[in-house]
Amino acid sequence: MDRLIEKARNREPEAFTRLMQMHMQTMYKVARSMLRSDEDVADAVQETILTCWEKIGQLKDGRYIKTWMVRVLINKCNDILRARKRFVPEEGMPEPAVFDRHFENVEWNEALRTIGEKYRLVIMLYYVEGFKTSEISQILDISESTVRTRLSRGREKMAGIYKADRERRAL
Amino acid sequence: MMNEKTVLDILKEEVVIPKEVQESADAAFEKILSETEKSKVFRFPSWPKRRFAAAAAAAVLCLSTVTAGAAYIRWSRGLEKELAVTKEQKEQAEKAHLTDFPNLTVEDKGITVTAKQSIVDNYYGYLAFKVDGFTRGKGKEPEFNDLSVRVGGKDISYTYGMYDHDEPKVNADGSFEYQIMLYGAEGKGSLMDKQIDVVFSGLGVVTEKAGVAEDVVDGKWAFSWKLTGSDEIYTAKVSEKLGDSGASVTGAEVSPISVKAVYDFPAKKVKEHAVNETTGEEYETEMLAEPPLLAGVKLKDGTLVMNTGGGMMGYTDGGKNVYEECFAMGRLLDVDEVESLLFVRKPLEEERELTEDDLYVVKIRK
Repeated sequence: MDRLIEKARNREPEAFTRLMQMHMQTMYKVARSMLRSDEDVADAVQETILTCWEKIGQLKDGRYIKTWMVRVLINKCNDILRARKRFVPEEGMPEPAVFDRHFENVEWNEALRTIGEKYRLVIMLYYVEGFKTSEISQILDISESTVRTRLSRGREKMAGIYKADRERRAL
Repeated sequence: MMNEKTVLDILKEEVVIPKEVQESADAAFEKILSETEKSKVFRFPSWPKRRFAAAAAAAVLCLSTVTAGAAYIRWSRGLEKELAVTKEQKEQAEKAHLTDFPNLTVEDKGITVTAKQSIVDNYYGYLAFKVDGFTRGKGKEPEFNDLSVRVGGKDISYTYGMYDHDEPKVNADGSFEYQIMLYGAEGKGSLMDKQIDVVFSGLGVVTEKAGVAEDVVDGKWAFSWKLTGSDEIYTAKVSEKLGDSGASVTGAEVSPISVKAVYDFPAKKVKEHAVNETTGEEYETEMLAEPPLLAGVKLKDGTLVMNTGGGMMGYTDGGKNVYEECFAMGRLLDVDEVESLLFVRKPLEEERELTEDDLYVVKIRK
C-alpha cells in the first residue's frame, strides 16, 4: 500500500486511480452522510477525485492520504450544499424520505437516518471510518471538544431511539 | 428494529455503490488516464519536502506593487548550495544567460517577498525567492496557502517549497528562502524567453498532517517578468541494450540542469502484489513496467553525478515503444564534460548509495 501511495503521489495515473477506487466506500459513506441524493454524491465524488489528482502534490505525508482526501470531499459536499441552499432540519423534525433505488442499501440508509443529520458526519468519521477525534477536528475545522460533544450527543440520540424502539417492541 | 450496536454495525457494512456514483467516478478516472495518455508522469525531486502542483486552471490575480531593486547580482544561497555551483560555473552561467536576477520585491501585510534568481535551460527551471518579515510559527515550517505559476500565459507543472537545508530554517529576523522548480513539459525550450507569472497567497505554517497552511497571514505577492535561459545542449544518437531489461537506449540529451534519455521499450504490464490497509485483503494489481531508471551522468574525469531532481517520464508515441525520461539535475553541469548517462540496473534492497556496479553506463560521446 505504501508503494501504491508513493506511486500515486508521483502522479502515476494507474496507481492514483487504483488508490481512489479503494476509497470509494469511504467517499460514498461520508458524502452520503452530508448529502441527500445520490446525484449530489456522484458530483461530490467526481469533483473530489479530480481535485485530489490536481493537488496530490500538496499531500505532505502519504500516511495521511485518507484524512486529506476526506477533507477535500467534505469541502466539495459543503460547496454543493451552499449552492443548493438546503434547509437543515432542526433536531426532532422528520426528515424527508430519500428515494433509494437500491434495495440493498435500504437498511444502511435507515440506519443513517436514525442518527439525525446534525451528528451523523462525526459518527460516520469516528465509528465507521475510524478517524481519531484529533483528525476529525482537523478535517472539519472544529475544536476537539466540539467533536467529542457531537459524538456524545449522537450516541445519546441513538440510545434514545433504541430505548423507544425497545419500549415499542415490549408493548 | 435497531439497537445501538446494530446501527453502527450496519453503518460499517459495505454498501452497494449506486450506479450513477460509480459512473461519475469512472468518468473522472477516464479523464485522468486519458489526459496522461501522452504519458507524462512526473516524479518528485529528491530534494526533501518538495510539493508538486500539476498544471491547473488557476486565475492569475492582479499584480501588487512590485518594485525593482537596484541592479545587484548575488546568487541565491539556496541555489548556490544545492546545485554546488563553482565560481567558474557562476561566471559562465551569467555570461550564457542561464541565470538571471529579476530582483523584484513585493511587500504586503508586513511580509516582503523578493524574486531573486532564475536558472533555466531547455527543460527545467529553478526560481529562488527570499521572504522577509515572517515572524509567526517560530520553529515551524512556513508555507504559502496558495501558489500559482504560469509561463507564457499557460499553466505549467512545478514543485515548490522552502529551502530547508540550513538550520534554523527560518532565521531569527523572520527571513527564509523559497524555491520553485519549473517543468518544461511542453518540450524543449518551452520555458525560455517567456513571460512568467507567479502569485503567492497567504503565508502560514504547516502542521504534520494534511499539509495545509494554518495561522495564515492573509497577504498576496504577485510577480511577472520575462524568463531568460540557455539553450546549450549536447545531443547524441545511441544504440545500447540495458542488460536483459528489454530496454535499449537510443538517444540522449544533456543540458546545464537536465538530462534526457530516449529508450526503445515495448510496453508491457506487470503484476504487483499489495495489501489493502483497510481490509487487510491481499490483491494483485497490474502496472505498466518501467525501463531502468535514468540515474545521472558520468563525467570525463570519472565523477558520477547522481543528484537528480524532479522528472518527467513515459511513452511519447501512440505505439507504446518510445519511452523518454527527462530529469532535472541537482547539480549545475558542464555539458562538455559529460561522457555517459547512468541507469539503475535494479532497485536496491537496502538503503545505500549507488555505485557504478549498480548501474548501466552508456557512453554518449565517442
